[in-house]
Amino acid sequence: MSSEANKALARRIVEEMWNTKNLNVVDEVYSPEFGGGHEATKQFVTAHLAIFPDLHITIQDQIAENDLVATRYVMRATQQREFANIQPAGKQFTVTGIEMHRFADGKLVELWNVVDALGMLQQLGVISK
Amino acid sequence: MSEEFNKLIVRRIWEEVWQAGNLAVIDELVDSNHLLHAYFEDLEYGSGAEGFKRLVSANRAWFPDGKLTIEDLIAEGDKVVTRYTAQMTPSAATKGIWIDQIRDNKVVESWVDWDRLGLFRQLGLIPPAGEPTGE
Repeated sequence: MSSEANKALARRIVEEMWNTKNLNVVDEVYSPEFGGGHEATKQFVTAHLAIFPDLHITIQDQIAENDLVATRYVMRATQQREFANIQPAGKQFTVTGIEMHRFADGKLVELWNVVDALGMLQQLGVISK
Repeated sequence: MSEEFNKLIVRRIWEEVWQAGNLAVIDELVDSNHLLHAYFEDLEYGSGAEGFKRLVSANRAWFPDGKLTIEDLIAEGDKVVTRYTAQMTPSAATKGIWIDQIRDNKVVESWVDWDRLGLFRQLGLIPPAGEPTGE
């Protein structure tokens, strides 16, 4: 697969799976060996989308070489259910992140995600700034 | 310049500046008007090459035995991405991803996200509660 094709796969995970909530992307783009398998991945995604129903990730930049794709993004969401012992208060957060996906034969095999979790917890009101 | 040459520029900044503390390399490889997109902790040292020097100096003063490992280094066009892990103290580590944009052999703009929550918790600055989100 070319770098451009891999970029399109990373974009599908963000825009089709997370933003549009199309879980078929898991079957089509994730390796069966990734993260405990397709069903586990779907449960992870579904659980997070239940907590943050309006989750939206905006891609700011993509850089790719060989089998790796880096994606810089802004993520915003509103907490509607309990999350990590945080009671929902309808608070919204907006944070930055950069993730790196590794693809093999058109399937996601590895992911490194660095998102500003501290900024998120601060904006959800559980850690003071 | 080529993508491979741009990677060399970024690798030199990690190894010679962040790891070895040679701030003179910043004048050679970082534009004087360098623009950094980072968390407020990193931005309080000011912008430009001089701000970059203060940021590195402060980090090295906080973590004199810090050890950085470049896990991945990729490039496309005028940008270079570094995925790194860093052992800041014997008991506290962090990780991050940097994107550097290079023009005329100097870094002109950088974007960084790093696991400040994880590091601050390991250093005891934040109580261990709650979990970060992610994919």
